[in-house]
Amino acid sequence: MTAPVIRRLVATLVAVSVAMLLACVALVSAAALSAFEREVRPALEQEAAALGGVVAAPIETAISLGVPLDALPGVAAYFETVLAGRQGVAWLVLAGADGTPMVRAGPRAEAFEPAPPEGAAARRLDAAYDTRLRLGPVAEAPRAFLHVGMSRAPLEAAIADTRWDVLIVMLVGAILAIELLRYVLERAVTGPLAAADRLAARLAAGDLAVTADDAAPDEAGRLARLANALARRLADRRARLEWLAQEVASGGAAAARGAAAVLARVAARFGMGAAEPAMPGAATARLPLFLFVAAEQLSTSFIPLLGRDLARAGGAADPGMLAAVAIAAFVTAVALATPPGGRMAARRGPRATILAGGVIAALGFLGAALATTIWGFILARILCGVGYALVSIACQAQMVAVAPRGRLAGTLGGFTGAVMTGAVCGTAIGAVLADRIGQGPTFLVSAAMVGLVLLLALRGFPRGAPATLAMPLGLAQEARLALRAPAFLALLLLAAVPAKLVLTGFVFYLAPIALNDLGLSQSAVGRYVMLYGFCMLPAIALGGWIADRTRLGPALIWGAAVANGIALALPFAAPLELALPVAIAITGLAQGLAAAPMLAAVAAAARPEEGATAPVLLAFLRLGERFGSMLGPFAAAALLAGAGMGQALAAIGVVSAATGVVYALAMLLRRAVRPAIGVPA
Amino acid sequence: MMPASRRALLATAGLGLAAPALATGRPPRILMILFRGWEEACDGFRDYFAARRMPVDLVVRDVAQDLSRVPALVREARTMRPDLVYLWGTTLTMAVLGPWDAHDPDRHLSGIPAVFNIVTDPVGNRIVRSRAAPGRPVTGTEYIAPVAVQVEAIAAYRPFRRIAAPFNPLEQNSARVVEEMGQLLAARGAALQKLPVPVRADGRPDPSAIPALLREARAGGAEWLYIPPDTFLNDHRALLTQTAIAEGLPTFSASERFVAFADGLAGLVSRYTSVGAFTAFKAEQILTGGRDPGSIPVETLTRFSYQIRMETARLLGAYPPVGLLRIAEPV
Repeated sequence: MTAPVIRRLVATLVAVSVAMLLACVALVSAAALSAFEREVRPALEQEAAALGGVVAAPIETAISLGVPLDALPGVAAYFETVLAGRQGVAWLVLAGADGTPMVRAGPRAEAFEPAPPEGAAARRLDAAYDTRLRLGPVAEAPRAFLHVGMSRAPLEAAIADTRWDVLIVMLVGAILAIELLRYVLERAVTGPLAAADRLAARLAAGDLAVTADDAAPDEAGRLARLANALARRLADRRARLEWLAQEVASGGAAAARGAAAVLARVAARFGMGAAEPAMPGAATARLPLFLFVAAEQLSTSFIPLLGRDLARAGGAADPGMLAAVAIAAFVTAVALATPPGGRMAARRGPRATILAGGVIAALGFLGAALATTIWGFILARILCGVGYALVSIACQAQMVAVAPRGRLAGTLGGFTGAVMTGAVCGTAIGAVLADRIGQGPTFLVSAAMVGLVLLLALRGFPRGAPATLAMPLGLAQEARLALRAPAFLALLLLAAVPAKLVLTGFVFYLAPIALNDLGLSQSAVGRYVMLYGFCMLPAIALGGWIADRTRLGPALIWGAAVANGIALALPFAAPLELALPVAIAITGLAQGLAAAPMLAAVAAAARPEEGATAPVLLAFLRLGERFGSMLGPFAAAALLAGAGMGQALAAIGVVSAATGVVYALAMLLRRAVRPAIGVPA
Repeated sequence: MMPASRRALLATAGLGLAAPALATGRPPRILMILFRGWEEACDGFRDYFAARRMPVDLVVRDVAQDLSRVPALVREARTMRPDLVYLWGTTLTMAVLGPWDAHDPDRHLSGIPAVFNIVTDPVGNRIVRSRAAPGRPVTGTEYIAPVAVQVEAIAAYRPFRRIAAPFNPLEQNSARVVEEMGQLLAARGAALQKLPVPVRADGRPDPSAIPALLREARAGGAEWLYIPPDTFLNDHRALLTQTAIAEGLPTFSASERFVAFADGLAGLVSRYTSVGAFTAFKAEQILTGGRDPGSIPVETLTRFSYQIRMETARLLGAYPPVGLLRIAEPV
């Protein structure tokens, strides 16, 4: 009864906090943007005056040589020559002494409005800032005027870009605030309350072996200590009862039977299990994961460029290929380190795993910051990849271990949500950081963030390995086990791998190229690609919610694949500049909805009795996804080179839709077969 | 006096030709043979040494446009044995040095390094084998801008379809430039009206024919009058340029004097003093740098002056386009 109330309270608190934060940022941004024009306008007018001085020089010469301006030839051609090399100039106008335009040139020359001779030297018109220079001897009345119009279009474009940047920073700030609030509330409020609730429920059910974590110095700790004292007293009473029963039993067989019956009733009423401390909530793993993924993604936007620059500096014959090697090395390291990471999480526990992964990743980021050669950089990225694999598998294992019964899909959806929010925030802020402080220092920021992750893990992750985590087996054995689980195999080959193929092949490879070919700026391309993450975030939560409460999980999985296929057909029905962003958004929504059901399906496909536990299958799923991620760009590149953009999109779409349909048929077949052989669903 | 054996050696090697002056400590002696008297290029040549504080002994001879005086001056040079011979003008240089591939030691100067100044097309006129490697102990400077560049310069002032060019048919360098101009104009779809100045019975061009030539140009529809590098026209530059104004013909010249010291409208020119100084720089390389003249390339200045006489522009109502005023040098 209390849980919904608490959740509502927490949601309200988060909403109010974020709303206040956004309002503050919006106000400051609006003020900054209006100041932007005030700051930029004088610079533009200075530029206009400098340009005007240069342009006016030969006209002044003509005047000083006595050439009548109405007989001076070539003014328009001269203006055009000047304008040819300049983007921001809206017009150059030569006006007579009375202000009447004599010669106009420039892309917005028709928007020039004549100015009276006694008017201000600088004025703002709709299309441009107009700066006027007088021509002729200083001591005499002006012979003519030269007007230089500096276009407002670049300024407006810069303001629009800044607006986007501010919006992105606002969204990232909001997401960060939500993550931090979630963590703080989980640790300080909802976690202890939920623990107390569970404790009370188990005590009420007679389980006297349960103990609450009473280390906290606050009210939650006091409550836990009281509850533990109560449980201990009850346990003492029961022990005394057992002693009395033994004493009574020594009095004869009938008494012994009576005492045993009483004891049996007491045992039936009160649980006699082993002591089991309450586990912390999922948020203990979610915030470190979010921070770690954000740290890793800070460098996403510039790693190809940095790799290419380092390769060039080393005199490499093909810098582009070496830059690709740097990217591939990271993905490969993640793929190869994930299964051993899973085993380490099971054997040594998530805490040891995340600490090891964090240290390795921090070393990798430091190495990347200090790398002066491409090979040093590649080595550093391999360390980052190994660290990424260990940290992500540790956080995932921790989340699985603490997932409330019946809410596994929602909890694992939280894992994907943390990864996605971290990726979106990291990518967005990383580009801004690299612009401001440079690429090397951005890696240092990543290392510092990993330091924070290590601190959180030290505080929040319990020591040792949770009993719920089974020991993963060798990769080959894992593969054998995974392949023996047909439901998992279908999920892997028909859903997980194709989804990654679409992600890296379409969203990260074909879409940027196509958008770039349409003439969009790099930042605009980046914003469109980020649509994927922004659409995916809410969809992940929604997908988790649906899967936990309905039987629509499998439908979401195959529906997402089919929706992806349809989205990739959009460029055939609408102009590319509209179809591509919509397709990216649909891909984000579809894959977000399918994320949690896919993880739940993995858990459902597990066969712990045969060793194919959920962590083993999850590790194998990640491996398969890495394979799909590596395959995507190569497949897209080959299709693009061989058949063109439209065909490449269509081919990837067909693969996605077809695998989705086959997965749906497989699920139908499974459902039809199970009742027939009497297997419980 | 230097030993005879050394003199023989030095007579064939430019490297040592200046050594006598250096060895004896006396200033190098330069025999300057001029075609039409001392003018600005000679000023530039002399002033260069003064600016460099390099004493030189200049011995000046002027043929006053009479090439029949050349053999006597060649003989004088052989007797004088100067450290360097300075030659002014294309026609005189050709007469003193002869063709590089048909050199006659009896008629032409030999055994003494030479520099030439105010010369057009020294390769076409066979003064040197090539600009990069003269092929004889001779080097020097050119002074007119490449003809193609001059054509562009005329078009930058005012577009045209037809140009008229008077010239002295007896001056080979002038005729060659007009010929090249004709080919360039034909290539861009324009026409050149060649106007050779009639030659009188005494074998000299007739200056009184100039007004009639310009009327002919006007009647033929010429939009520009091009004045090639031509000593005869230079001598009559006032008549030529004033008649052009009277006929409403803008003039464009290849050399400075028609604009700077007459009423020509415009010209893309090397300043004579600058060309003279550049020639002196090459002379210095021979006299004190020990360079073989045959190893010093023949060059022109890399920058030219676009001179415009504004009064003529006003009289003709042909003001320069404003873009040209950025680079032009109003006179």
